[in-house]
Amino acid sequence: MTAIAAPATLALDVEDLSVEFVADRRWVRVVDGVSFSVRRGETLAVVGESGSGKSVTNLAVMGLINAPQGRITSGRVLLEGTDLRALERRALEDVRGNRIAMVFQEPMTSLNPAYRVGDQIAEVVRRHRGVSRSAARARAVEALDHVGIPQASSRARAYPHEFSGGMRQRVMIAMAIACEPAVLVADEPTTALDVTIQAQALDLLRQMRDDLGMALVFITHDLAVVADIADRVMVMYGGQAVETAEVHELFAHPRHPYTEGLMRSMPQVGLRGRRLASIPGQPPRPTALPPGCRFAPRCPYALPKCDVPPPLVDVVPGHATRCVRADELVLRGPR
Amino acid sequence: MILLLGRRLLLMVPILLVVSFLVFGLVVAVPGDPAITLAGDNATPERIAEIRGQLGLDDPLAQQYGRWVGGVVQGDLGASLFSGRPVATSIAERMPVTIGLATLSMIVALLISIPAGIIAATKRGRWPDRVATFLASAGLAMPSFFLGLVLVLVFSLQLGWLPATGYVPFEVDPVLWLKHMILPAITLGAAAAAETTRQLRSSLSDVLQQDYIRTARAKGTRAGSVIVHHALKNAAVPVVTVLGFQVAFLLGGSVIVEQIFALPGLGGLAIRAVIDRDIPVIQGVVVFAAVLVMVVNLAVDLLYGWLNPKIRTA
Repeated sequence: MTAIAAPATLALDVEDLSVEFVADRRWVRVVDGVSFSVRRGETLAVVGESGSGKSVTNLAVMGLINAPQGRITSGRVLLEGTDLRALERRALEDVRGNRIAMVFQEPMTSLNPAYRVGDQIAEVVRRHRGVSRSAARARAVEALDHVGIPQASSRARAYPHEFSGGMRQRVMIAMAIACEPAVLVADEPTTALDVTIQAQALDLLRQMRDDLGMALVFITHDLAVVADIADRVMVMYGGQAVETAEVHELFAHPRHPYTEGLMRSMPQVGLRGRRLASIPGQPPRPTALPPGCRFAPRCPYALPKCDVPPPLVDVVPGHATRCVRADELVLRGPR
Repeated sequence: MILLLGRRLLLMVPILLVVSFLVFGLVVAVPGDPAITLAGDNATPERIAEIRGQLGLDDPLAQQYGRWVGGVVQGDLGASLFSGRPVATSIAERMPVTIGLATLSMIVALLISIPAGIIAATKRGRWPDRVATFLASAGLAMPSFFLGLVLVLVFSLQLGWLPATGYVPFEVDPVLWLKHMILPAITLGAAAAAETTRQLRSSLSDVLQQDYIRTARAKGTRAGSVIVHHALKNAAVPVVTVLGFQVAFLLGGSVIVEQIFALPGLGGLAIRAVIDRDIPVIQGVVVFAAVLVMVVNLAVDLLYGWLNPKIRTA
């Protein structure tokens, strides 16, 4: 799987995380009891449509849910044994960017336009390492060089608008790895990039994970990317984890109808010219969730017993699904 | 940056030309004849004609304009029709008062508006924001002559902390200078503070929604530093624009405030000149104010370049 043998301890261990936001003047649950874990050197892909709660889950892990619009109502976030939810704000700031870092979807808007990229990277180094200005600058150049920016020392003095989207995403990655974090959360890091650049960015993330022995949490809506980078996968729907499995197992034997739907709507080489399958209907709004299984209204296999909320249970060790018909259905992977 | 400076300086030339036309046009447009005013009551037509000749008022307009602009370019703004003193000298004497007042007002405005704008933007919709927004509206709505009188009533007459009127030059006694200037500066700066607070509140709350602020927080940047270091520099662009306008308003407002507090500034000079129809003085003050506003705008443009690196290369 990876070059570095995964140590026994978990880099990130999230348990029963729930997040609520204010909508229509009341609290609405957008992430509901999500649990996952990831080891150093390992990649966990979090997959789902927009609004499935995958980004919010990871913003909550980072402690970036803003009061008063949002709040974490339950859960435990252990970063190498440290409970992040128990930390004071300032202690949490010491952890962010240092032991856990994040790369965002929009490289065009995620860098501060008013500062040189080298200074933006140096800032995080100075903040967490307490080194001199020049040492931080040198580390910034090193990080830019590491992520494959040519002429790193002169490019460090350029402003974000002088970089292309792909290069900006490299800068974001350089900023995230500058302090060699244990966990890197990448929120759709390739979605905004040109297709030709996407593969490069994926390779880079994989290389950084292996070079630094980081745990990588990779958020995406794109199953093709998942197959490329992930070791394990968590599929989210309506704010819940609906299926978790090792990546080959998931593609070979999906055990949730939603996962099957996602896989069957993937474009496939060799099936050109045929209509892509799509999942009918829309994902549920958090303000109007179905009472039972949240996927039931769109599910081709739904039965009356799906009106009761299904639990997430292991069908085989290491493969869990939130479907009461998991044992009776024979689902297919990509066509 | 040098290129930016050069381009902006070049742009000032046509503006100065237009200003000079307008200012010179005063002579033509203002009803009444300065020669008649100057000659006094019961002057004979011969006497008036003689004065007209002395002032060159019978020459063709183009010639008069050429003579005036030629002087202005060399720093000669002419002489007062009444005292005969060079206008440039009068302005130079009174300029420190007005510039000092305007500068101090601007400082007052910034001291109030930066913290108030930050508080309002970060506590948006909560009570600190409501208080700041209310005070900003009140500051805008309050005419300066009223605010000035209230301040004098409270701090000079009731509490006796600060003098109500008068002026001490800075070079004579800086402390006394400040004591005399502080109430006028607050009076003049209140509206600018209010306007700047409103602008800062809206641009800062906008910037705080941006992705790069989330990035800064994800880096572990301290909450205070996120605002001061990452947000404020980006939020400053529209605020600096407003501040540039404010300087023009401050110069206008100083005419009133200088009267309330009996400060011997340009405002007093201008009012006297208007009452006397002392055209050269009026022209001089207007030219001076126009140049001052243009210099401030130039500074604003250069600030843009520093605040927003994109402008520099554009």
